[in-house]
Amino acid sequence: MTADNSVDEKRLLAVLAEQLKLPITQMSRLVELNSDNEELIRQINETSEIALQLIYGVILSINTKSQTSLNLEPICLSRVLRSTADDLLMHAKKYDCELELDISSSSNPVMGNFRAYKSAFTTLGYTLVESQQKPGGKVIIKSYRQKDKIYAGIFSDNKIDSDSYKRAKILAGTARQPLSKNSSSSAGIFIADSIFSALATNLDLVRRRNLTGFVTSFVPSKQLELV
Amino acid sequence: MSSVFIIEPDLVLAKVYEKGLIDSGYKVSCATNAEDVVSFLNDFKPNIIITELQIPNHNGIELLNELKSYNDLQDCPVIVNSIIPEDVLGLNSSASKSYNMKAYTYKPETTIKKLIGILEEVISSNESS
Repeated sequence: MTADNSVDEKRLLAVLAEQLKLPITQMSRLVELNSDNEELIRQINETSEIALQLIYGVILSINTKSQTSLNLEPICLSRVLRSTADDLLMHAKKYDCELELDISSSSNPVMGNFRAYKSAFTTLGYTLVESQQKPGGKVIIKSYRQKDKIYAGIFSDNKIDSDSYKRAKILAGTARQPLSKNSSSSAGIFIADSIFSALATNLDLVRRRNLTGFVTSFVPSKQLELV
Repeated sequence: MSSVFIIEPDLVLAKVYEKGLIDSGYKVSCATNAEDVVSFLNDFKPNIIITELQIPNHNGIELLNELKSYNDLQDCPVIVNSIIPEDVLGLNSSASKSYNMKAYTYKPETTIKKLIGILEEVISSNESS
């Protein structure tokens, strides 16, 4: 097969990501059918949902970057963040991690895509919860206002410095552990970064009080505020 | 006993849904491709149809149109249980109504229990209208 005929890597990844939905769905449904253990079924379903969210995030990021149209609509950021918190709650409990929601500044409407933002924040949240190294850690879904922008993101008490993050972005996809503080591939951070960059915003590492967080910024729509 | 027709191209999931619904007291028939759908529906009229939209050699809307073309199925409620997220398909409410689509579920996030719950709601709402 010549270079011109081969499927390029991004498209291959998109195809793989789409395909993976099937075996994951099969696993969940087979367990549900063959087990009377409600707790086991619930945990397997939750774990599958995490995998599916990560897959969805990858597909979304690739499609958005390849100019597939993404519907933009007025969205309420606090609704996105609350929905993210709902998805992360069980995951946080599994890791004995306290999940907090601090979203006082996010009632202003912004133009965006609910599903894309939620996917980005949720995949980011999974990685930050999983990176808790001992029980009793804390992850905070937060929004705050600074000057004319609203910042929203997820903070944790795991300290990550900006040099490590810069290095990790270069290593992602080539190193198994791009962020050495995290034992996993930290995929959720890179997927969120990719989705936000496809939506013309950045995912930045910030320090706020005693916490390290990954945040992105939104410009509230003055026109929508008038509606 | 309500009869359910499941259109599901994946053999593993088709068996899972079939068993799950039979265990819940439904009479169930399955088809995994469009040709089998046509030959089945020529002889058998279900009370409700649960269908995937991404099936071999057919796109989802073609299939929904095909189901609409059967006179005996004009009032048969349809539940879409698809691997395609609803917002990706972008069906508006009048299109959904024209296909008699009573619910759209995203298959990876829909447990058997949830599907049965939706099935019961649709059947009971259909019986009372």
